[in-house]
Amino acid sequence: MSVFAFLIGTLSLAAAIGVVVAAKPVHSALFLMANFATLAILYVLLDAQFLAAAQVIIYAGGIVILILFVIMLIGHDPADHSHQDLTRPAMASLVLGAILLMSLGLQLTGHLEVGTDGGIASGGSPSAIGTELFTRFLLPFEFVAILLLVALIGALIMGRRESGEPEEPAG
Amino acid sequence: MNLNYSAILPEMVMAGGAIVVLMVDALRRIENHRGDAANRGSGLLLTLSLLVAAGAAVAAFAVRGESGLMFQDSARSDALSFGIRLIVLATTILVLLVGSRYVSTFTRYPGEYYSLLLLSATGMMAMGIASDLMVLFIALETFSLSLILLAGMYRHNRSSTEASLKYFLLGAFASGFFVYGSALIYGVTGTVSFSGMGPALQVAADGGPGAVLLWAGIALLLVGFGFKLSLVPFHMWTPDVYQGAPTSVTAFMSVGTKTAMFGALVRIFLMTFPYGFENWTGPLIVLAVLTMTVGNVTALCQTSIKRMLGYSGIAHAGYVLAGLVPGTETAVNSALFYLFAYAFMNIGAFIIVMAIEHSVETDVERSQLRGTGAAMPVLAGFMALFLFSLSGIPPLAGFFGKFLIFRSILDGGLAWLAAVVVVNSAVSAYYYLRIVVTMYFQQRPQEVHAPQSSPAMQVGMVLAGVMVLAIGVFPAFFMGLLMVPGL
Repeated sequence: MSVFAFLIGTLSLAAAIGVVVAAKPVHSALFLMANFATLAILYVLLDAQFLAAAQVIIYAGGIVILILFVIMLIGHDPADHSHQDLTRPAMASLVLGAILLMSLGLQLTGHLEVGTDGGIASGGSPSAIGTELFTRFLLPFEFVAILLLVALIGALIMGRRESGEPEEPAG
Repeated sequence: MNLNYSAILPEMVMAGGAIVVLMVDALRRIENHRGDAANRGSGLLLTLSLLVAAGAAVAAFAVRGESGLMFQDSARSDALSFGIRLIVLATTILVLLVGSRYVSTFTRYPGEYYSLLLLSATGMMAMGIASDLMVLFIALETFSLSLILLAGMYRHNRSSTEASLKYFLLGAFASGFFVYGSALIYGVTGTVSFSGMGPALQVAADGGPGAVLLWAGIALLLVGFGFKLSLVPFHMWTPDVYQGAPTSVTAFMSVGTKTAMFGALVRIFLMTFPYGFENWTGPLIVLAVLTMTVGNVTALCQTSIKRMLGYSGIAHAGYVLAGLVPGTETAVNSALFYLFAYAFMNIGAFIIVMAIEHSVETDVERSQLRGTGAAMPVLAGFMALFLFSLSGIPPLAGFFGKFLIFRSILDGGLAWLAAVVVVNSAVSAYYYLRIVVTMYFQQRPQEVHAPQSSPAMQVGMVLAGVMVLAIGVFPAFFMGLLMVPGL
């Protein structure tokens, strides 16, 4: 089991490095999908089935597809020429990455006891999460409905063709 | 389980009302044989939305007595949440009063416009009751997403679309910081609810192992707040978005966002993290001074009235932040009072801009106001009233707002910060009063456009004007109304 986890972890790490070093954006996106998928397997190994399913559906499914759409719409530049010096985004990611490393380091070395007040960590099965959503996190759960309503209205008005706009070619 | 639904009645009325408005709009479209006369029946939608907002205000007063933690510690109803609800609802009603005719100049979908406005206000009110990082984030996203959509509702106008996209991208960026900060705080404290964080925060503040992560988390959270509140140096998006969005949306955004975010700022920084709040006064002072100064100095150079009001909005956020710096009960009360006064004077000024702008362009240059004092005395008179109040001239609402902020800063022993506020007010008086001079002492050009004010708009204008006077004349009453006793 642990050998398998180690193998998957290595693959996941390799995919993550691939995202950063790949020259073509499409390759980065595909590496990202591989990374998300291997992460989902790790979640299953940790007995968090719901999280694994959500990971596959939302990240590997939704987000990577969205990224691919964006690459398709913008038109992919064959290679990225923009890494001469440290740009502002690069600086920001360095700082944020350092914070992430620090938090992981503190947890792995046992300096930081992570206690959770819910049953999310214990189990992560769909039924445990469902119970949490309808008891402890009822109010956020209900507010999400309003957020989704806003998103729905937004998708409708942004996607609707105004009169006077040119007809798009079919197909 | 504590499911005290009556305590969140105002939010439920608003959200439910928004759905009703959408359904009535759908029925209206069927009646209108789709397509033709997009305008017909939009007055009904407006009336309905106004009733919903008024109903929510009644509900807010009715449940004022309900206080304490609810919904498994994820919401808190108290004097602060009441104050936020009151300011947001006043803003919503004033912005709705702009009327259906103005709305029809920029969008063919009044139903969606009104319901998004109501849903956005719901999110802002939810920011006031949030007592949990999750509710806080969902409320933040709800009102931001609605505002992004509202800003882009003028589909045929390039700058409106640009404003929407810009707000979307920077909003996503800000949300990223906000979520990262929240995750770190959750990691250190082990809970998302503000009420449960106390002991863990105390340990971390005393130099426990998680201290570094906690401070990093709070700093990231503050960056998220900075973007949404358009504090300098996170303000780059503000002028473009304010100028490009339809003016009624700009008015709503300028007051509503500030109110909701300052409410959450008080809830988090003064009520949840009081441990070691002294550590945060330094950064907050720097942000406040930068925000006030950059906002005012840049506003000086603007010729577009909307852009000028955008930059001055940045400066006003700086005043409120400066008032909050002492972190006392007085500080919170002065900030809430200032936001309440700001709602009426700022939206009042925006209503006049809407009356003067011609339908196609969503902007007014200062030169367009030349000679309006003689040609449209009522409109110019109200504009002067709002501008006097914004620059803090007694006995208007803005004066008492600034006065309370001075007092709060002086009580906190920060005389030099109070001096910065005074100098900044003087600078702002110059560019506000310059408009009054343009209106009354410059010749009107030959070709004139009649102002397009609808009856509803006039009601809104008079209401805002009366409130600006009333707050100035009876400040004690409104201070009592918005009082937050203790922290």
